[in-house]
Amino acid sequence: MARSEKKDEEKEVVEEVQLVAFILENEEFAVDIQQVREVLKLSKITPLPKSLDFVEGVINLRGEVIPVIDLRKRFGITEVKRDDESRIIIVEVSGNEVGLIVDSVTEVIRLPEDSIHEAPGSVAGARTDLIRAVGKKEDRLIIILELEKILTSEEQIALEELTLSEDEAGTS
Amino acid sequence: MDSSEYKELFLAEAQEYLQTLNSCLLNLEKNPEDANNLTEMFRVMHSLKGMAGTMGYDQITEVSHSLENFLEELKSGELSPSAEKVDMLFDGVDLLQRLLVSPDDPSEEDKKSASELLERIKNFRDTPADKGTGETKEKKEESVPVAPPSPPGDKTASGQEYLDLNEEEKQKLKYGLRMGGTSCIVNITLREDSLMKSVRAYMVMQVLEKNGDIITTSPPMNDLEQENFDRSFIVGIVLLYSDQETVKNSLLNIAEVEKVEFLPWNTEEFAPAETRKEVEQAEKEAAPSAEVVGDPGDSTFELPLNETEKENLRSALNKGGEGYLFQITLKEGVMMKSVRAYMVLRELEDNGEIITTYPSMSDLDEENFELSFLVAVVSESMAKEEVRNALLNITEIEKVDIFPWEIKEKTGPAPPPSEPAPPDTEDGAGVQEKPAEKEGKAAEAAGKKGNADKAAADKGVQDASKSGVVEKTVRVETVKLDELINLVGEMVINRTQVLELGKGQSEELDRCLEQLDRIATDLQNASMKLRMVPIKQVFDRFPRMVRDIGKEKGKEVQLHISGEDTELDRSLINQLSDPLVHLIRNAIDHGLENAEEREKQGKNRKGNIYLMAHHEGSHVVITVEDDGKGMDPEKLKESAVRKGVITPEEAEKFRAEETYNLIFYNGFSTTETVSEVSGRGVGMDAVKNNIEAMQGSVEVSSETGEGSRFVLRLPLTLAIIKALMVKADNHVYAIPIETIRENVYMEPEQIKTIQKGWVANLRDEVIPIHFLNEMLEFPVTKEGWEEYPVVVVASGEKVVGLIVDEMVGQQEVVIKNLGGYLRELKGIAGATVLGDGSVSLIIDVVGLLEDGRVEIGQDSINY
Repeated sequence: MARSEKKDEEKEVVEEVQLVAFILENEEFAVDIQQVREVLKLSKITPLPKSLDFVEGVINLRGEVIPVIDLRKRFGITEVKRDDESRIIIVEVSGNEVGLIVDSVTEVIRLPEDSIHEAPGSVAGARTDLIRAVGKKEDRLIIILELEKILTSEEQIALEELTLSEDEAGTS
Repeated sequence: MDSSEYKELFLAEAQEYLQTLNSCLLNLEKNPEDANNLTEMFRVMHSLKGMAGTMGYDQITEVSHSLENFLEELKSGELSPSAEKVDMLFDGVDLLQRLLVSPDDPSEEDKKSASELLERIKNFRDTPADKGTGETKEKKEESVPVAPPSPPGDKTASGQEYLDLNEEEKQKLKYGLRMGGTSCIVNITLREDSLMKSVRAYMVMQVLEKNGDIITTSPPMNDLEQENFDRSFIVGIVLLYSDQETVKNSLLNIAEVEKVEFLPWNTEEFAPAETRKEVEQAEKEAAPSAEVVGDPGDSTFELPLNETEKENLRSALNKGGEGYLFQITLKEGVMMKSVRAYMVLRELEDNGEIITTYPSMSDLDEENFELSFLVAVVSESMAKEEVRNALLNITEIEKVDIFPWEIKEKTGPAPPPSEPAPPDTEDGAGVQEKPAEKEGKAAEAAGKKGNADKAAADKGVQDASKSGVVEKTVRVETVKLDELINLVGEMVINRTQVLELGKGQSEELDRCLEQLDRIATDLQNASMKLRMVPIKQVFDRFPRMVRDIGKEKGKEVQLHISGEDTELDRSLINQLSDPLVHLIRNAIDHGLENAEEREKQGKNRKGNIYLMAHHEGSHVVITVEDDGKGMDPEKLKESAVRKGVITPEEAEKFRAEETYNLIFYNGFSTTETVSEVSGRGVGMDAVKNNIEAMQGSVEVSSETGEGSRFVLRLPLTLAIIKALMVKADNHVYAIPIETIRENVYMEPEQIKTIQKGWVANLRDEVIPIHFLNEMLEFPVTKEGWEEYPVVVVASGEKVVGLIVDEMVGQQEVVIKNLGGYLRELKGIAGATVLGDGSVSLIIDVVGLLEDGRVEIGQDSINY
């Protein structure tokens, strides 16, 4: 433990990336902290008619009306009942603020740049255009999402397309 | 020196100038004999040139300079304003407009047009019909270097000799002294490396104007504007509102001002006889005392009047009135001086006609006075003591002195013999209040100008405000304004939350909350007013456009504009322009007949187009009307059927007034030939869409042979709407009141089922009935209805009854858009935040009803 802390300090001098990590269907994902405005508990969401399926509705964030997207629906995962752990991550994508509903937000992690790798080439169904990079922290694999693509395209995206086996991640 | 901060200012002002030029040109075209237009244009062109020169926009400077010279020749009568020349001027203004797009980097094309224009100007000069033009030019070129007197430089110790006052200035000086001011000479020296001397000089003038009355400058104001001075200049001023030290400090705060020196100015001969000493020492407290002003017998005491005021005075005297001069002195430490002044003026208004005030009304408004002011009143039967008592009843009035006002000599044409000499007729004609107005060249033409009319006088007032004497308006970036309005909106919402939380806690809190509530509401109303601008901004471009299109089409058109002061939301102004352009173009192109045809029908050769605006409740109504040939309903139907817009069966069902709506259908046009001006009828459906996008409506009516009329109804603002709040499936929706026809509760048996769905008979009209949720493609969950709350909404001809779970009530809602991420949702106009912080969607009835799923009852047309 002491060793790893020391290592972290060293890296601090070097480049470091901060991420907001969250859980979706037991997989760990993350988004670049620079894209994140804030993390909210679930509040009342006003449903929007005639919009895309995964658009859950709109919320009021200090007077601004902000659309909210259910990432479970976005990735075609069966819906579960939302609980106390559920969070809305407000991110900024192409100049617009959008809320993302996730199962839970785990932590803000700092990763040294050398433990972040480009997404492996299209292997076994993984869509590299949806993945910005893959981070490794100890034995955890964290998939950093490319939000622009995920939120702006209307095509159906399946969760399988985002997950990697450990092998794949290791190869890069 | 970075001039970019001035660029915006320059552009904004230049736009105003061009607008003035355009309207003057239009007037000139109509009345070529009216010299005032030329004078005004000359003045504006001159200012534009000066400004562009300061900014270093060479191309604009060059063009405006040539045009200015040309205008001067027109003005002095050396050239006559023929139609060609007016056209050339129009082109010149257009060119300037283009040059403003990138003033510092004109396009090659514009450069070319510029040299062509200069060539055209030259050709006009060389035309034999216009004699002696070359001479003028030479003369002018000579006069330029002579004009600026050598700068006073170090010799200013005896600056007095440079201040040669004309009569107008003498009067002004006398006034200032009478009001208790101190005369002095200010010598301002700019730093050697100052880059924008004219701007600095302007800033200096602004500071000085705030502190007193500027009597004169040396070199004269227009030389200062044009940087025809070295480093220093002197200003003769009567300080009224502060002392030398304060003024000096504020002047030294201006960038690039190196030195400020105050010199005494011997103005004894102008001071009121018995108070000279006092006046000179008069600082704050002595000033407002009556002695300073009161000298009723002094016949040299003249109030400077502009033409309008003179006119008013003349007519008031003709009715047999007598002049009174009221000197009002307010109490020391008075708050809200302007309000007191206003109350005084109102009281006096009831007792006679107010001719003028000193200082001017706008100065009174702006509190640019110490403690006392003068009001000149003409009244037929003034009960002096009563009026005095009434005035003294106004709070904070210390003292009221009433003097007879010697006015005879000012109304009569003959100059009074009294000393000092009254304004000589040449200068007196304009009684310009602003020194800058007295440009040397203008004075040259003054003789010709003769009795400058009211318009010129009004202009004088406008100029005064432009030059900063009275800043009635400020320019604010719209972004800042929007932010403010947004924040106020937030606060209003928050207030509701606070009110709900705090209610009933304690009496004291309730009282506070009540007050907060009131203030917030007032604040909201006040801030909403900031968004409002007069529709003039749109209308102003039409006279020019109508002229151009009329010429192009070979039709004689007269445009009549009324109600241009009607205000509406700024965001609507921009969107309004296109539809109106379409309508007016159409009116000229399709509506009006050409002159011959009109004559045949016994109409005036000139076709009329009326553009009118007025308020109607929370709406602005804009009417575009022409007296052309109108539309023939039968022809419309025929044409619509032929073009496949509607089927013959549908055509049969059309009622007359509906028929005209056909022109709004996609792909419909009544003229067979495609015209460059109005295209092919694509315009009209765009017009309708545009207007509806603004939550407005457009109606058309017509009489064959008499003309057509388009009536546009727009909400005053898009930011806040009145809405009926309804609940459906536990969510609250806002339905704009404008779109609601009525609310009814229906028994289940009132609703009938036909193949297409539910309908109900409402006042002999069969209307389709839908669940609101169903329209929004949400499930309908509520069951066991005892009665159906139905909101009957309408969009154009379409009427639908919407079943909601519950009608909650009416309220004003602030419209928010849904953010850029979501595509436009048909049927949703936006969202609003409710008092409890939740978001409620605003129903867009137009969009909702356009949706194919709404089947209209059998009797109506299927859209």
